[in-house]
Amino acid sequence: MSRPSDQVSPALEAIVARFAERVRYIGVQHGLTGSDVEDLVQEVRLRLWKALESGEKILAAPASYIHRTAVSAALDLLRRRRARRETPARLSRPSGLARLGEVASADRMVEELELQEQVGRAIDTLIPARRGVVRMYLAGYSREEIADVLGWTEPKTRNLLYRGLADLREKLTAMGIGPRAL
Amino acid sequence: MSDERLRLTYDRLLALRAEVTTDRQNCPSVETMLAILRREGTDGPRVLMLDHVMGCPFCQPEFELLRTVGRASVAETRPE
Repeated sequence: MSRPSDQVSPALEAIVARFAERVRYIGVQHGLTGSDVEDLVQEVRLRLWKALESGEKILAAPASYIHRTAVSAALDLLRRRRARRETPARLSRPSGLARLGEVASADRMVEELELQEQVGRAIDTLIPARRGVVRMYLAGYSREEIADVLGWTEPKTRNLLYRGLADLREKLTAMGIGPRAL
Repeated sequence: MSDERLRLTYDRLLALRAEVTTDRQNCPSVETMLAILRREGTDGPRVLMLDHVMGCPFCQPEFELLRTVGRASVAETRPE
């Protein structure tokens, strides 16, 4: 006679596999590296197996259970990393001159560093309500994603973002950084 | 400066910050980040918190991990 865990394991694996596929797909869109995503999937898998062994009825409510388990697993994963003072992996977003196909000279690198500092300072001087939105946009968020995270309407998001970007460009221009900078 | 150029410059700025500091004293807890994603609390503090998260090379990937989990879970719970 087979144990209950033997009967449900293929079904559970299928649930985890489907969830993992979604996490990988969305994770890549969010710039996460493979190791972050795989650590999370592994954590979720372990938790579900443990719960299965303890007799919890995972298969009765797989979707809601996966949701709770995944969120809890992600929180614990991040807490552990912080406790170990691990530096999170950088998001894999395109950056820098290398992407533009250029070999940077020393002068060029210095100019680039100065530009980064000036952009950073200009952003810091934006009014708070616009600054967060501008940072989200510069971090790669679309207008729709910003509206979604903040729970704002599209017009409100667009208004604050456009005003924020206009302010930023105005401040950069005042610093001598015009449209043709670098 | 184009949006694309601004984004590239900002990305490089965060990469630079990650190299020169490991100080996380002012970073919000992971629970606070989750609360932002759940839209808990009022607009002002949430925008301020996001301002930090989006300007912090350490908080940003953590926030994206939580956001990914949330979106993947929503997709999972959506009726087919």
